[in-house]
Amino acid sequence: MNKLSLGRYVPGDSILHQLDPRAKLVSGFYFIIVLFIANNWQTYLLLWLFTLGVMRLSKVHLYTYFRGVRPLIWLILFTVVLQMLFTAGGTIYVEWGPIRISEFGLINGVYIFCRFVMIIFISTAITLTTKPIDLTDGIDSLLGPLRKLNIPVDEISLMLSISLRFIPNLLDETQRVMDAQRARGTEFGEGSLVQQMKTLVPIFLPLFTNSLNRAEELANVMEVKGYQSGIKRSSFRKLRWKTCDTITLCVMAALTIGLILLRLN
Amino acid sequence: MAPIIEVNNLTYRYDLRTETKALLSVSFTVHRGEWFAIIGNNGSGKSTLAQLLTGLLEPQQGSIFIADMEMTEKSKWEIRNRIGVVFQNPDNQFIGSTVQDDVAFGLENLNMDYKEMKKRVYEALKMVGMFEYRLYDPSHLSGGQKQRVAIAGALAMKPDVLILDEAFVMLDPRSRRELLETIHELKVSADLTVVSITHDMTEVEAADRVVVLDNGQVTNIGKPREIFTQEKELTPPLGEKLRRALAKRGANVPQSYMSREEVMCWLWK
Ligand SMILES: Nc1ncnc2c1ncn2[C@@H]1O[C@H](COP(=O)(O)OP(=O)(O)O)[C@@H](O)[C@H]1O
Ligand SMILES: [Mg+2]
Repeated sequence: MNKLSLGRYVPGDSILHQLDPRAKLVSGFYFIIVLFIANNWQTYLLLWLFTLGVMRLSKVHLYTYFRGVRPLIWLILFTVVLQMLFTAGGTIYVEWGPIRISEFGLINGVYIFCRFVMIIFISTAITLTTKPIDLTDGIDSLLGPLRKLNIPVDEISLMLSISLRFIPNLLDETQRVMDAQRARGTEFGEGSLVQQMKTLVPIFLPLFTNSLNRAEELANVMEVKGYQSGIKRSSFRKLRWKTCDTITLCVMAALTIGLILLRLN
Repeated sequence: MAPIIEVNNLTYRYDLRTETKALLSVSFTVHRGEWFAIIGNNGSGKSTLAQLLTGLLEPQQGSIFIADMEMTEKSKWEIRNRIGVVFQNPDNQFIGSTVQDDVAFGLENLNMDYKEMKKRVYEALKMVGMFEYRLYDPSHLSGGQKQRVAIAGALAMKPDVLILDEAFVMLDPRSRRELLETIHELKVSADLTVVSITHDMTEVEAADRVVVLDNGQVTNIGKPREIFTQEKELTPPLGEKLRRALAKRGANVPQSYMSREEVMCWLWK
């Protein structure tokens, strides 16, 4: 269960925890956009300062952030290497057959690497400090205007919130079924690939049937409690936009101005 | 007393290809403000009955009237506004992401405004003793605590009829007693009707009337003392158990059913 803690919410009382999920989501997406303003080491330095500042504010251990990068490290390195090989210009450092690493290629590679890592750090900072349900509410609220296009925003976000609510149950259940199989002598992660796949079948079958039963019971309960899709429902959870959320958006604006100024230099 | 639930000749079959019936010609009436217990072995059709009473299943034969409305595809939404239900498995009926969200779910569906909703949610959570846990998420609750939340969710709706399907099985004896007392108080103060599916003989003893289901059929219906006298294979409540034990030893006890108080009075004499 702990292996899957990537991007999981860590309870806390930092400023980041207290921000409105909408402020965090909007700033997060906006950050990805302003990343593209950066084009020299000064701008990247500013972005790094911002990213590290945000990580610091979350009061979550640095180690948790690095764990977020680890599963993606190969993808990142692959992109970086491609970038290095296919950007030409400037002094050539390495020339080895068709492989050529130039000054610009190297710099570009480093920049790309920084972008990737910063995006991961910032999005991890958001997921670590926001309860999944608050994220759902934030998305629901931000997607609100789509209701006019007849997109069932409320249904989607309810579905999302219920799925999130059942993830721990599913993980527990998987663990239980695996333990039960282990007690019967099954060894996981051993033998050929086909054998390994075979040991997984008796896990997925019970999980699958359980989930179906669960879904049916859940649907029954929702129905009995008067839930009908398309009805007008009030909401018990309320998002509250506070001064610190407005300040956050101002910080993002300041970051943009800073980047533009440094870029013009 | 006016009947609030009327069940006539109810028959239900899950699998239409076979003749096995989950329920067969079940009839009974429940009066307003009554505590009506349903007992029976596993597989006797109790949960099926609960699902029929809430309009989740449609009877193949027979009819159900609740609060003078016949249960139909159309009327079921109206009827559901007046009943609160707690099903067997507390995990699969936890919809919200926190305790208070879950209790509020039914109220949200009524499009109730926030202030009233908050009042009701808090009240209900206090009634079941889960107020301090209102911000917890379900993965941090025990089975018994989830059952209490489910009961709070039903009570928050201020129903006329409360249907409980083995809603107390995961509770420790003390919380069970406290919750039963709370619901009893509501029954008196708010004229709540309780239909409770249970295996707890102490609860059955305190009910106004009991129906016994066996293999989908009603085999007995009556006051608890009649049921315990007639159904010999039921484990009787403590008082009656004591009376029977005394009778066996040749003590000169009365021949008919006695509640705990009655036995106590008799012993003191
Ligand atoms: N979804 C279902 N599909 C088919 N048969 C069912 C289903 N649910 C229950 N049954 C059968 O109906 C009978 C009554 O079950 P149920 O009402 O759950 O009993 P109880 O709640 O008294 O233990 C049982 O024989 C059971 O196997
Ligand atoms: Mg049952």
